[in-house]
Amino acid sequence: MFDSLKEKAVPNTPDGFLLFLNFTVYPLVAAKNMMPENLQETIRSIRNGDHAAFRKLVTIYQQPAYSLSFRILGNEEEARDAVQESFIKVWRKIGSYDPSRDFIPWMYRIIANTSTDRLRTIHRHTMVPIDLVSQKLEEVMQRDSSTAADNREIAILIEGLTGMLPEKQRLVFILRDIEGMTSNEVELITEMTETSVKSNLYHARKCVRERLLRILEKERAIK
Amino acid sequence: MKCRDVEKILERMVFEDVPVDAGLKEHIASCPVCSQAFMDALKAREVMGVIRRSVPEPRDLDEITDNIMYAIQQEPGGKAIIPLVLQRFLAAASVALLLLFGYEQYGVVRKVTALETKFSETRGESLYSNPQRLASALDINRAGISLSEIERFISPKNRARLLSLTSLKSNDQRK
Repeated sequence: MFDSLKEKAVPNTPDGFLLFLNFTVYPLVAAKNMMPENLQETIRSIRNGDHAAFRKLVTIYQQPAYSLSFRILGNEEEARDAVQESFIKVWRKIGSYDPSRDFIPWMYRIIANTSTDRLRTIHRHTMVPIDLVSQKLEEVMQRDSSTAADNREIAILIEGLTGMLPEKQRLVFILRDIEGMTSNEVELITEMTETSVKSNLYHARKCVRERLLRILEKERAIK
Repeated sequence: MKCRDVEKILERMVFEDVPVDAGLKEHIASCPVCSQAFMDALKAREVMGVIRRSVPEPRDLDEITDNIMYAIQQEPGGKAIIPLVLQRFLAAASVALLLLFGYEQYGVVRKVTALETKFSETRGESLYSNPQRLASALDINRAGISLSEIERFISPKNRARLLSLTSLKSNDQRK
């Protein structure tokens, strides 16, 4: 369990070259240097106030944390602040973390909650016009398939597709269908029941698909 | 395969890896509407793939790390201020106290409501319309007098005794 979450961490070991190649093609990277027993040891050290151990944790997980935060917030500066705030919260709350439970969903819950709270305070639920989404999509699709979109393009595409969704649906959709987590992981991070996750995902997918089809229709009409 | 079945498959196809089986292929080949829907679903799936592959990159990861490390060095954090076992005990104790307090309050409300009924029956007025009488009812409750005792007191014979026990006395004497 949580393999998809563990895979998101960035490798910092010398044998990370192949993982780096994998990272450029496919973003979910196997964190060989952070196997469960190693992670538990790091957490134990952090609980004893070890700053170096915490730096190690931050170094490994800040990239996937940023990715999640950016996809929720759609803004670079806000995502940076949210990541910083989240890790500071992790440090403050590590004493209350129950070691018999999985650490990663616990940490991701803090990141997701901090980002969602921030989104609520900045009121950034603007609807990106279909024309703009369609234009950006065409630009991105015309490029080589291995070339990823830049941050601004990602923000427009995600906001364009999920901007109209209610908070819960949006979070479940981002975790499940964009971050690529399993339903079980989404349940643990959002603390929702299986039924609630399924229901939110169903409605979110329906809305996103309708929006996607409208964008594709628009593209067809232009051509 | 019917168009309705195809629609369901296409719905899933955009977000999940759904294999395109022979039945689906056959239907698409013979139905222009589903054929167009299939092409749209493929395109939509491609869009979702691009979004998934495009991982947002922070401009300066080291700076984020340094900022976090600087912030936590100002914090006492790390070690649990209260051990986990004690945290759980305190949580359990809080719930127990809450239940005890709730039960006690429930008893008070029940007694006062009963008193309210009795007073209304005997005096033909509501306790809540007179703050002094309500206070008296609460006094009776605090004095630990049971409802059966109150019933005895309420009878005309013992009414004077009841009044002597509570602040109702001064109120009634004034009248």
